[in-house]
Amino acid sequence: MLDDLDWGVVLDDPGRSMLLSGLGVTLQLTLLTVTLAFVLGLLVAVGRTTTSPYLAPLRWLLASYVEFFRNVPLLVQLFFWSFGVFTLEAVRFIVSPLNGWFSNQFIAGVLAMSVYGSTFIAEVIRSGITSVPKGQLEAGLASGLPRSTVMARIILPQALRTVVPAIGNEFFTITKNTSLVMVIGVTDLVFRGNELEVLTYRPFEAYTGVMVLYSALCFAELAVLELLKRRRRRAGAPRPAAAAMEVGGGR
Amino acid sequence: METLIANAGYFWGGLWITLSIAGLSLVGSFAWGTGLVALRGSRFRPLRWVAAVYTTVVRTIPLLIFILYFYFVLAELGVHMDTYAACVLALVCFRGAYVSEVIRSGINSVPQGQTDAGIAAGLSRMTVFTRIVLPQALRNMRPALTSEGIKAIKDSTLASVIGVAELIGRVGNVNARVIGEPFLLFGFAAVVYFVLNFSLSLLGRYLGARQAQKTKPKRVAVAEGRTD
Repeated sequence: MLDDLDWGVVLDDPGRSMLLSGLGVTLQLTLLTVTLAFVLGLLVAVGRTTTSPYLAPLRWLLASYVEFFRNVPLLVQLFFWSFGVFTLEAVRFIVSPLNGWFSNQFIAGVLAMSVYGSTFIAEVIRSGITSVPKGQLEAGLASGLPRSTVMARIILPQALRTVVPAIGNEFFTITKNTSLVMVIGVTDLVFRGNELEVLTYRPFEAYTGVMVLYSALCFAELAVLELLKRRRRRAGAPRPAAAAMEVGGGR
Repeated sequence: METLIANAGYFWGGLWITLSIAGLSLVGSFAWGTGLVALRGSRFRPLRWVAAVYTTVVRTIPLLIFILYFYFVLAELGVHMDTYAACVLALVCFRGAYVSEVIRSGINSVPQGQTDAGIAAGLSRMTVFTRIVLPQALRNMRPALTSEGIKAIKDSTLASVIGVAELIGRVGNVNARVIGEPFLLFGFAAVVYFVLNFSLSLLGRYLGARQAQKTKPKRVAVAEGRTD
């Protein structure tokens, strides 16, 4: 009950070190997933914005990838990777060199969340790419640059700059989604909170501890995002105007 | 395949529980979300603050923790609920914070001139809101409304963590009992959820296209840009 709260459960060992080790795992999960999801999402987005008629099957495939994996709940995908894919001997063998650092459950979790997250990031980046005026591509091609260079050096830098806040939101969502890996047995923050509850019979203290730690992590992330947005506004706002003036002056 | 056929009735029951959790939490979160919007527009300042703090803090907490908290902590405080009720209540409180932002931005997207014109024409504030502002706000909110439906279905899967035997919970149960068919079982679950969510998003697109046809050509571009 509320009149005999014992915060020592979370503030002293073993509770404190349990929750902190869980927080460490959550941070690792977040960083790895964010990186992998971003790379996957970027590849998918670039693939989907190709125009060559020969690549039509690729575009179709990538479109189905996005539609499928973003419409299936993350929990189902976690189960699929963990209880399905990672029960195969071949898969276990392939990832075995990583087992020195990460458990199979951890890797399954990162893969499931990366695939799920990449579909949302791909859509965000794709909208960024399509928002870059077509003239940029045409100008690049007309000045004799190969298509890949135009994409990598002209289109993508502009596209990514416009979608920084939206991608930041996706990263934020990924952080919160990492809480789900507890169901496949990854020893993250929620898992440790659950363990602490079982150990001490003090759900209020244990889960409040987890909640506060998560909230602190998310607020820190929000603060960084806000900072980025503000810097962008300060540094980015004059830039398009100056560029427009240059183009106008050149003409 | 036999596993699926043998458990068809069991899964069918689970699907209905999934849909009922999603439906109840969707309706509930819109009611609570509307309430939060009303609180944020209230004349009493502390109420405004409470609503603002609530929507901000809830959005930094993962849903799973919310559900666990409702289930375990409320029981300790003497409020005993079954897993189903705890889960729906947690979903409503959680989603309500997000939905209130959707509703607020929908209402804010209607130009102030519409309200002014309505009041100038002698309509009451209530009539202006229900007959002029709300229909336009709802139309602008349409893409967000569809995605809230999809999220409600996705979120309902978390109920299985505290032991509600909805669809994925039942698939997990069968997977634990029948050895060696994880791909069939979880693939089946994935397809069912995909069909549910994809039809919702197709419905959203269809409504968007119909709305684009009805409105002026100038608005078509806006509506198209909003669909996913």
